Amino acid sequence: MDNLLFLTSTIFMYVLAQTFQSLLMKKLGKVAFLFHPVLVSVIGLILVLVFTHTSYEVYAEGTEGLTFLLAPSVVALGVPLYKEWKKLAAKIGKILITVSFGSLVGILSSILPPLLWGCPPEVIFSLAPRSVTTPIAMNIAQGTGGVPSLTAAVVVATGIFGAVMGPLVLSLLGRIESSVLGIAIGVASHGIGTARALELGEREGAYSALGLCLNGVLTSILVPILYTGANFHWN
Amino acid sequence: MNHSRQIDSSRLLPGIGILFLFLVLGQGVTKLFHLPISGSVMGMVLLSCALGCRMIPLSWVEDASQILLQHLSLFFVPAGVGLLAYREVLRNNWIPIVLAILLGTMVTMLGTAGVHRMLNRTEQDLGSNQEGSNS
Repeated sequence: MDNLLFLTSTIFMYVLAQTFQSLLMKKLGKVAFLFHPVLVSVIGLILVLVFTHTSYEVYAEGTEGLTFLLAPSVVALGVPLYKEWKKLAAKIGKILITVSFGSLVGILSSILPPLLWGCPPEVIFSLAPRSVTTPIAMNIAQGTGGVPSLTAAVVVATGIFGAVMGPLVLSLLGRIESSVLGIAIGVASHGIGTARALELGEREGAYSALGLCLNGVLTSILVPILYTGANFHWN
Repeated sequence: MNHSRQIDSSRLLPGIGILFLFLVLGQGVTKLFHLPISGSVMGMVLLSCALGCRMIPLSWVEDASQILLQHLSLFFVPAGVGLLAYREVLRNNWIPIVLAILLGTMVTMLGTAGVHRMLNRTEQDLGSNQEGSNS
């Protein structure tokens, strides 16, 4: 019974948040981007759980059905990717350079704040793989002495922040091509960002999916190298 | 979600079956070769390769993929609510963590976009820029 209640309330909360955003969009224009349904419904549902003294475990069990659909949906990203196939193949070199750079910036920008703050290595390496999807990031954290649960939290927060702020932040660069927008969102904010990119357009989604995928591979190579280097230095 | 084509509902079930098939394949490949990426991401790569090599026609998976991707954001909501469970882990060192998330994400995005745009321009600056179809 409870199970169905949480699944149902999640769907309705999301639909409500979507309606809320489209109303705001008419009134406020681009500022309404900040009220993305993911952000609004997550905050709404957290408040519901807090006020009803429900533990997350109970909620998670009830919404397993939605989470279950994530994996086949990520596979489904292969379709927009294929549709851009020819264009992507023609500039794969540029894409690789871009994602390598983005991957390095992503790791360094995650490491620097905790390093300068004097955090212990396990916190630093929990944050390092922040920009890639949860299962990949947790894997990296596990292998480099990080705390996987901290990584999971930071990855989700990064995804939501990137999805909500991405298009606004990138508008700082002026007029921007769909491919550039997509790849930047995918590299910096993985799956949640890619979901957002798809809402902007299929091409944005395809580039974002490629960014997510390549950054997943690169980050899982680079962070362990960095870890080995740091260990060598510390010992 | 501005790419809504007419969906043929009779194609949904076989399409979803194929997506799960590629998920299983992706999981198998990552396990077999001990690859660091997740099974679903591998499945995505395998699916686009299979479409690219014409091993399966686009029409088999297009509708199922569209219907799942239209609601991709929704499927991330339970994970987002999971932040509630991580209160304790996030409480210690929250300042550098918040800085890494906010500044780090913005810097990564702007840096990636900047480099990709620069690389795009170095070659096609003189040609007509046909790619600016921002919806």
